[in-house]
Formats: sequence, structure tokens, C-alpha cells
Amino acid sequence: MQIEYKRDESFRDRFIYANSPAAIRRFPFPFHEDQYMYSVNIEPHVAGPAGSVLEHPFDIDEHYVGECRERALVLEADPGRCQALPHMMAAQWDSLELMMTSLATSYPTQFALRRDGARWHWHNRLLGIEQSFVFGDEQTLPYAPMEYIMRQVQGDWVLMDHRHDNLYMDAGVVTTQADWSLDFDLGMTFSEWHGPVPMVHEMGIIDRALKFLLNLQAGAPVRRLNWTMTINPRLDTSPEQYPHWGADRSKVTAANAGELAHLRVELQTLFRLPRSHAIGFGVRCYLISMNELATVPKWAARMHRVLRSLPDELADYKGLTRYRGAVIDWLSRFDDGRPLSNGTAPE
Amino acid sequence: MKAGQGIPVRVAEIEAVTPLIRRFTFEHADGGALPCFSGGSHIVVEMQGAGRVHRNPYSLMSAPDETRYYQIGVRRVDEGRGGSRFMHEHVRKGTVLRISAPVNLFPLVRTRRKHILLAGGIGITPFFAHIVELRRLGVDFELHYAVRDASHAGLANDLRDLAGDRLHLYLEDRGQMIDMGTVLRGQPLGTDVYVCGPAGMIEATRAAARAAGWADSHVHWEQFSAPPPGEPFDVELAHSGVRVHVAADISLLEAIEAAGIDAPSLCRGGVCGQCEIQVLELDGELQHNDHYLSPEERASGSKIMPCVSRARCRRLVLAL
Amino acid sequence: MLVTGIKSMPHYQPLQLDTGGTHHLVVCQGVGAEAGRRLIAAAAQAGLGDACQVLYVPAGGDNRFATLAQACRSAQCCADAGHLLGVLETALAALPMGLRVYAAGSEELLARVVRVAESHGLDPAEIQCEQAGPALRRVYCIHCRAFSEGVNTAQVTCCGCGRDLLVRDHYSRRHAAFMGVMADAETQVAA
Repeated sequence: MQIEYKRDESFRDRFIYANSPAAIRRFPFPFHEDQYMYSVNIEPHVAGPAGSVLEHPFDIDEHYVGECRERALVLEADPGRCQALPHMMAAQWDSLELMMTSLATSYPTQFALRRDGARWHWHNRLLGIEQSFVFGDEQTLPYAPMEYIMRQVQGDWVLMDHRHDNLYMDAGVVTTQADWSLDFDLGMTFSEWHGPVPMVHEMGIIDRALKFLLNLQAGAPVRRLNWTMTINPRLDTSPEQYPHWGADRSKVTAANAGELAHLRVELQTLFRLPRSHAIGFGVRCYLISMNELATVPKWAARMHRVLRSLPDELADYKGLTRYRGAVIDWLSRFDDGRPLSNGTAPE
Repeated sequence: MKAGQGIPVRVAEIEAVTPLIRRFTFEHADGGALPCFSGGSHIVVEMQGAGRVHRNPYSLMSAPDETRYYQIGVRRVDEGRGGSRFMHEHVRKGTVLRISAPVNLFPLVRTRRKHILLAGGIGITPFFAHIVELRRLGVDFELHYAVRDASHAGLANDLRDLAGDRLHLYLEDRGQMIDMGTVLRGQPLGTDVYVCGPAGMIEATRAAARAAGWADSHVHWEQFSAPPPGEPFDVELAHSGVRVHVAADISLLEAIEAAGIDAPSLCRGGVCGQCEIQVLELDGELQHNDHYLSPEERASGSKIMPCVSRARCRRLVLAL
Repeated sequence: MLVTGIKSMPHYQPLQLDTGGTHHLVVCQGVGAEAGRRLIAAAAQAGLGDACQVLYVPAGGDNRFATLAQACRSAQCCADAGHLLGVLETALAALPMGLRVYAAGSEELLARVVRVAESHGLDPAEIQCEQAGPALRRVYCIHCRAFSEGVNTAQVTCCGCGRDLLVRDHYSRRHAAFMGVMADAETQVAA
């Protein structure tokens, strides 16, 4: 598939962002039915349909160049978005190996990896990066291994150390998150960092998910989708930056919701890493404006129904409350009440 | 590991390192790289015996980042179910076997400042890989290795190369016994102990750690135990609509697999919980041999771990 | 104001002698001396009096060191929390496995004691915390990273950046603080 990489995008201040028709068609619309509730909706992360966001272990799309530039900007202003506790170095190398081998296999015209024992040579044609280094020797890379590769990957990455029958968030690169802080949560257990999420603990979802992940095996990654909404195509909606993006929520009206309101879908992937026994957690973020979403009639109608029926507690936690009504108003014109097909496909 | 899955390997080397232990070196049968792994991992080796399939777990002894070959150590057990005898008598250089991908149920805790490793006999095998990792981490450790006599210390030279004077060798025929209390006394805060060996050694270690005031989170063990044999019995698999006979010397899990039914499993030693099956009907009693179910779960009679547990019954129906 | 049900909160309990331990280090602040005294009495009754040591820091004008010194031969009074934590660090660097640490004091002191203990390799089962004294919280401003101390309200003015912060129901043991997030970000007037 030929991708037209956008080179002038901006995810902050003066926003420059749009999805091509191809990007809209492949958007991971998450709603199978007209209402939404939590579940441990985990499935094997195996190759999905050609051209879909699920085709490859790590997905590269037309926003790659822009997102890598955006990550560099975030890290320059706030280095605390990339942290690793000292015992996580093996997991960092695992991460680099996983991503380099995956990208080179999935996108051979864009990425190349040559390995001669521990002497590796990496070529990223999209960003114009060539790097020779010794695998396992941090001195031979310009950044620590996790930061090095994460500056060339779309989406966030969290490393969980597996010990005491639990998972500890002990490292990560988190610049495109939906309102949680790596700096604050670093060192927390799975249950602790999910603390603020309403309802999931009572439903037993967190315990079941943890038990499942403790048994995750190398070579058998899994994935799930999560969603929220963002005003403007802003990737960095961290708590740290809330003073800057919080006000956007008050600017949404029934007239401008089509342009301002974006559906934000996270493709979450989970990998067992072989050398460190750690779990790698990818959070790959996809944004689509309501205008763009409305070019797929079924999706607009379903989005309307999901937002209308969403429990208030969930809407509140996802930060939708202030503009939810305006978006529902805007979407209502696309919903004539007709039965919609089950599943997430555009038709 | 389901039938037909796993990695095909060819035996590249067999060494009789002690009178009872053979070290096998496996290379990928298709010439590719084997997956790297974390220290403490084991593989399940599938052996096509006469009339039965053996699936035995063995710790990986080779360096965790070595992808050209794996090494395992197999202690011959004459009175066992035949898996180790098969390895010793029927596996040659060039034999092709299927192995599972590595699984780790005995990892190092990476946040500790010191690790005490205690091994008895064949229990030394996982520590070979652990030591490579500990050396790379630059973390303090001690290895205490007990064998019955000098003729059984064949692996000690390789260990000496890896561990230097952190290795303490105990020859039991000379009265050299590991004094757990002494080993554990005075260790700095943030020390963990890992023990792999006979059940008695594990119990002694756990008791010594408790007596020394160590919390459970600092004590780790791996026990190689084969499923205990028992009286033969029959079982019905409700969802598969199949009736399976479990002979005296094969496990419930093995009987289910032999009948062609796909049953989840992982450690095959009663500790990880993966093979848990719901009991739908029971007329008789379950014989729980696992280390996973709680006392309440055992008493309820509603769950069984087929990799090691059995039943003495007139009727047993499982949700499989 | 003690909010229960926050999953990231540390667990508080009345201090109870853990006879599984071989050495018992008790840290008390202010009125927490009472919990410490009770624990040491229990240890003495179990014949473990010699295996105890206690570190104390007064809170405000409240100095109860005398009761602790009476109960335990190895008792030290520290001038302030910083001094106490330094003494604790030194002690933990030398003490062996088998140790149990017990702390009674303000939430903020407990958090700092736990952080020091965990950094020396102690696990949750080896540490007990009892909250004693006024319920004052430390708040970490996620925007400017300043800590505001002694908070007992749901909102606080950040001592670093001056923003009005909502104290979120999310606690970090690593920072020993609750998260403070700008309270009126969504309704602020554009600059």
C-alpha cells in the first residue's frame, strides 16, 4: 500500500491535521453496537486484513513523520515523559529489538535492519536515520534504547516488570496519552494505576486482566481497543499540559463540533518480552474529526447513539461531559433511527 | 504445547556430565535462530516413545541470549514414567525432537540487591542461565550447590568459570551439608533466595527463611516433580463427548492429549494454573497433587489440575 | 476527609507486632508515640524487647519521647523529619534480612518512611503503617511539580505556580503525594 506521508502536520497551537480518505476507511472504529460498556475485550494480536491498522504488529500511517516530530517536541519540553527505573535496561533492549525487527519486516521499503552478531545497523528511510550500534551496549546509541526507538515509532509504550505475581509500570515513553501521567504513575502496580478508572474494579475486570497478562507468553501478543474524545487533533492531552488543552473543551458548540470534536481510539497491544520477562504495552492513538467520521454514515449514526447512551460516570471519567451535548446535537442529523448492522465495518 | 506445534530441534551434542546427568545441546532443525529467553525459563520436550508420548519440562541451561543452541540437563530416573530414560537411551546426536517455546515460572526479581541461589543435584540447571544474567546486571549473588559426591559434580567446572568464588560446592559424602541458617543469616536487606532441588531441600530452605524472619516475597523455588502415578480411572469430557481412560502411569492431562483433545497447559507441574478444568460431576474423590488450588477450592471438588492430579471414582465428568 | 477505596493508597492499620520478624524498627512522630509504645510493650512481653529499636520525631510542640525511652533501651529522638529519615537510611543500610519496620505518624511522614524502606529492599509484608495525628496531605502539582504540604481540603492553591488545584483521588507512593490538577482549566478565560 502506498502511503502519502504528510510532512507539515501540527498537533498543537495552530493545528494542521487531516485524514485522507484511505486513512478514514482504515480508521479503527471501536463500536460494534449502539451502546458501549467495558469488557476485557482482548484478542490475539495476529495479522489483520491487508491495509488495516491490525495488519502489522506496529502500525505506520500517513501521520508518521508529523507524530515523530511532535514526540520530539514533547520530550524536549518535558523529558519526564520518558522514564525508566534502573532495573529495566534489559526490557529496554527487548523493546528496541521488537520494534526494529517488526518495522523492518512489515515495511521493508521504509526500514531496514542488518544484524551481524551484536553489531546492528538500522536504517529509517522515512526520517533519514542511519545508525550502527552494538546491541546491549548503551554507549553506542545516542539515547537509551527505549527512547531511541520510541522516537521513531507512533504511539506510546509502557514497560511492566513482572514480579511478586504482579505487574509494575517501571518504564515508558508517554507523549500521546489520554490524560494520565507517566511521571506520577511510574512504579505503580497494574491495579494501582487503574485506580481512577470507574467501575472496572467492581466488575472484576482489572483482576481478570492482570491474571491474563501474567500468563502472556512470548510470541503470542494480544490487543484491544479503547476510546475517548479529544477537542482538536491534539495528541498530547497529558495532565501536565491540562492548563493548555482543558479550555478547548469549553469551545465546542453544536455548530463547530464537526470540526473540533475528535474520536480518539487507542489500539492497545501487549507483548511478552523474552530477555527481561517484562510486558510491553503499546498505546497507538488514532484521531478522526466528527466531520471526517460523518463521511461514513453508519459510524456517525452509531457514534450518536453511543454518546447518547453512555453512563454519566463513564462520560465524566472520559472527560466528555462539558461538550457531550454539543456533539450529540451535531451528530443527530446523521441518525434517523434506522437499524444499523452489528460490527464496526463501514457498511 | 499442542501436537504439531512447537519448535523442531536437532540434537547436536550429548555429554555425560555426571553418572546420572546428560547434557543435551539442541539446534533449530531448520537452521534458524532459537528464541532468546530470560533466566529460569524451561522448555517442554516432546518425545515419541513406544506406545506413548512423553512431554517433560526441562530448565534451559544455556546462556539466555544464545540463539544458536539450547542446552538442557536430564537426570536419569529409572523408577519414573520413562521420559528421562527415553532421553538417555533413545535420543542420539541427530535425533529430531519438538520443543515448546521457553516459558518462565522461576524468574529473578530484578529489583533485589543480592540473590542467594541454592541447588541440589539436577536442580542446578536453571541457575546456569540465572548466573549469566546476574553477571550482566553486576548484582551480588552466592551459589550453593550440593551433590552427593565428587563423581556427581561434573557441572561444577562450568559453574566455576561462570561464578568464580561465589560458587560454594558441597559434597555430601564428605559430610558437607548446606547449613541454610548460616547461609541466610546476616544477609543485607533486599536479598532473595532461590532454591531448586528435591522436595526436602525446598522445605528446609523455606523453613530456614521463615526462621530467619524472611517474608515470603523473598523466597522462590522451583520443583521438578513428575505427575504422581495412581490407580487407573475413567473420565468423561462433556464438551468433547469423549470418554478417556487414564492408565496408572500417565497423567490425566496426558490421557486427554492422547485422545486428541486440545487441553490448555503450561508448566505441567501443578503450579501455574493454566490447565485448570471445571468438574461437572463427581462420584468418588479427587486426588489433588497440585500447588495451585486453595484449600477451599480443593474441598469444593469443583476444580481439578489435570497435569498432576487424579481421581478415585466411579464417575467423573469434566467441562472440556 | 480520609477517602477510602483509592486503589493506589497505602494501607494503614493499627501497628501489630509481627513475630515472624527477627528485628523490629519502630518509627514514630508526635502522637504516634502511643502506637510505638504499645508495640514495644508487646515485643517486651514476647521476650523480643532487645530486638527492638525506636526512632522518634516530635510534632509541633508535642514531644512524647520520654515514654518511648522508658519502654525501649535503643531509642533515639530526632530534631526533625529530615534528620529522622537520615538516621533511618543509615540504620537500614546496616540491618539484615528479618527486619520489620513499623511507622506511626502523619500520612506524609509515613509515605517518606515507606519510600526509604522500599528503596532498601523491604516489601509491603515487612512494613506496617498506622496513621496518627491530623489528616494532612501532600499534593504534587502535576503542572509545575511543586509539593504543597499540610493540605486538608479538596482544593488547594499550588505553592509553586499559584494555580488552583483539585486534589485527585490518585496517590503515588513514589512521590509520597496526591496528584493536584488545575481545577478550572476548562473554564479559564483565554489569556
